[in-house]
Amino acid sequence: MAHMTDSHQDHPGPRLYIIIALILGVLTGIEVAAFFLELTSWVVVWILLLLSLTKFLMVVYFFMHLRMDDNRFALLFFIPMVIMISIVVALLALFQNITR
Amino acid sequence: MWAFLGSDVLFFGTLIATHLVYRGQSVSGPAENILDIPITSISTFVLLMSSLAMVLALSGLQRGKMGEARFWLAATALLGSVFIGFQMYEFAEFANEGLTPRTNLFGSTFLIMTGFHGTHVVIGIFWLWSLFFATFNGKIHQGNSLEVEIAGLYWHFVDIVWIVIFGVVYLVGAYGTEEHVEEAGHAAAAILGLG
Repeated sequence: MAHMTDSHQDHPGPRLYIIIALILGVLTGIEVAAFFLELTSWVVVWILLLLSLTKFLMVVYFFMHLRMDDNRFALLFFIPMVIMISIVVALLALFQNITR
Repeated sequence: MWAFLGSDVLFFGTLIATHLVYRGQSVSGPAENILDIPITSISTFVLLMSSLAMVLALSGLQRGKMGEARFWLAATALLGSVFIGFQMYEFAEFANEGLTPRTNLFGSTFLIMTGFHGTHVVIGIFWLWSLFFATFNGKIHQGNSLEVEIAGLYWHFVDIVWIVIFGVVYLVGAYGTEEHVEEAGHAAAAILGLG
């Protein structure tokens, strides 16, 4: 939708979409493997958070075409994202204080 | 649509935050250790592949290939239905093991969060089938592919919400046993600078 006009000539072809989907599948496999590995917990958490973020951005930028869209759409999406992450961090901070 | 998705980010953000805040606080009944990671991994993969089917449907429509667009639209809706099937199975298993929204904090926050996500998927499935049938009566064609692209944005959003839920709630949140949950919580807090 996303486009200000109805021109979609700059959308990538099926080949790139399939490659992106394969990468997403592999990243999910790595996530699950990391979960079952006997690693230090902070290493696993870092791996899982980074892989989730990578998958998230790949879907947003390639499948949702945000990388080719007007910057205003990116702002509409990422400003609430920043607010949401701030809420999560703030609540976790409060939670930590309460339970200590 | 982007404005709606921005508001939905806040909606799901609140649900996820609430779940994380109450993680490990349940005093009775089954909790994080009830999660079945292998089964959920498969359903996650199914939802990811439905996103691929969605972009292939849009790509087909934009190139004027109506047969291709119809095939991938139907495939997207069917893969979404398979995901819902997995979720219904998971909820039924939880109920069998005594976990309902009224059992404990984990049950309340987890089932409401994933239930709302499932509701979004169901709405998307109905939307996709309506587009599928609209391709037969000429209401959806190459010239107005924007209609399908808007539905695609919604569908991909449902996918990225699940990417976050699977990564943060299922894998980080239920990292093995209850001891792992506590360890993972401390590690996540340290990463966020809260520890």
